[in-house]
Amino acid sequence: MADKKRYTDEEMIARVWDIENIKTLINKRVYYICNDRRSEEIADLWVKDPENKKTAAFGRNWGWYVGMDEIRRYYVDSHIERLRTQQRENGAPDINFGNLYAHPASTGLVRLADDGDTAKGMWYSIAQETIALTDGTADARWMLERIAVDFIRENDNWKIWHLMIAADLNCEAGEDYSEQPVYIDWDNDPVKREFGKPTVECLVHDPTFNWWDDYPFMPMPYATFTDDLSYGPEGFKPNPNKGLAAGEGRNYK
Amino acid sequence: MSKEQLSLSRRIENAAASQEVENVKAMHTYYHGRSDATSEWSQIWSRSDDCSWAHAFGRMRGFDQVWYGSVTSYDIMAMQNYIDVVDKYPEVGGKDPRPLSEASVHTLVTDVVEVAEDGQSARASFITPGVIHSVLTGMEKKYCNVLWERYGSDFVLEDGEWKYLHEHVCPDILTRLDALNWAADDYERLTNPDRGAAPPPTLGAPPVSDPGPMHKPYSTLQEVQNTVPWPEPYKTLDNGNTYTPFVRDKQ
Repeated sequence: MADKKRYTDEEMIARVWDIENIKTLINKRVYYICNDRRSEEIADLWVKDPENKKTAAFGRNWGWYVGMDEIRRYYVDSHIERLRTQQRENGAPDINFGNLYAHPASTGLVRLADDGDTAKGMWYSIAQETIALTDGTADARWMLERIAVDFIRENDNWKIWHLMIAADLNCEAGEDYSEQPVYIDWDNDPVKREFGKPTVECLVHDPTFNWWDDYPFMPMPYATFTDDLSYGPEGFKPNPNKGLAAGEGRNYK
Repeated sequence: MSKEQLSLSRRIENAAASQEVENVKAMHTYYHGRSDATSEWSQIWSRSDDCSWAHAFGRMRGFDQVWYGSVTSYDIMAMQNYIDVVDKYPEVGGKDPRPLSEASVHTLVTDVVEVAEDGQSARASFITPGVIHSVLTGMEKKYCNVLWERYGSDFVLEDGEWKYLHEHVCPDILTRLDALNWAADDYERLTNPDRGAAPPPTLGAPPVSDPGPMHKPYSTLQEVQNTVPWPEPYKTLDNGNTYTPFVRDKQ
């Protein structure tokens, strides 16, 4: 943990203002998702500096897309392609006809680096996504997820640099979650399928063991950004004592 | 003295303090999500004799009693759960039993935070529309519960760090996600004596100094409970501005 640094009044109010701006930024991202304006989200909220764009990362439980080109390919281009397929199959008048998205961010924990150049934040979302189906019904899902973000200051504006969304569960609304098979069927998990094949592929959070893996880790006070603090792939350190994976260990008899 | 009469420095420090106590509160959520009571009570709590933690069952007072109820007893429940789980799922062997017990995620919204004019304490109220979920269980069924509570929290500044002093947790509804109806369940219990008592809104009932009930979970017969009203602007933490009245003179 960084030593407690003393600030002048001017420095302290600037830091208070920075943290409020970061909270606003992450809330804007929620509204971009509600309106499914992913391209505008990237243009408005994500890094623009060429060096930062190279190291930008968008992660989910199964790895990261690295670099803004890769992030755009997954987060915008593939998404639009899926929506057009859905529109065609549903005979819908427009894309996103019958779809609804909301990932509200609660439980904010924001740490501004002592040097003021970067910040880290964590939120939890009890989210829902509703996707229209060809038969006129829709797949309505609860999605519970932790959101961990690295922010970087660019020309006095805060930007998303690394984003990790670690899902705990997703389940169909109106169905008893406890009656579903215990083990997660990753092959048929709609979020995993949507995520595709990321640049860096590895299981970073397996909710089979709840939060045992402690990833993404909680942001703590820090002096300056270093790679080991990153929510991108460079900051992921698998537990060397990870033991067995879900479903293993039954051959001892 | 109104807030406007405070010095600019004090107002700036209090603005930063309000952000700090929100962080302390969020740290509670993320530590508790891993059932990591040791880190929570080691790192973000005052060790004062004045600290307290209250729930429907009553109020623990003093750090030793809070530690026993919130850490020692909580860990015992995690270990007992682990013994049940490891019997069904050998892959949990070697893993920390505590986070395996469940992910109890008390999400935080609707913050009202007041920092004392003297800058030495802060008070806050929150609502938590939270979730409690676990995958590997002794019953061989995963679960996701929905738990809505209200919080009244007092914080103190100790050696430049903001620490929890008092927590009052007020459980309102506990139900299974998309499987149960808390109002229908309560009505059924009230009208059908064979159903028995309602399940407790929390795990266990540790020893307390102030016996409960401190807040009653939802019932179709209940009156409005304003157990932890939002904090008003205040000068200093005292018996008129606290979620736990002090039982001895403050020197």
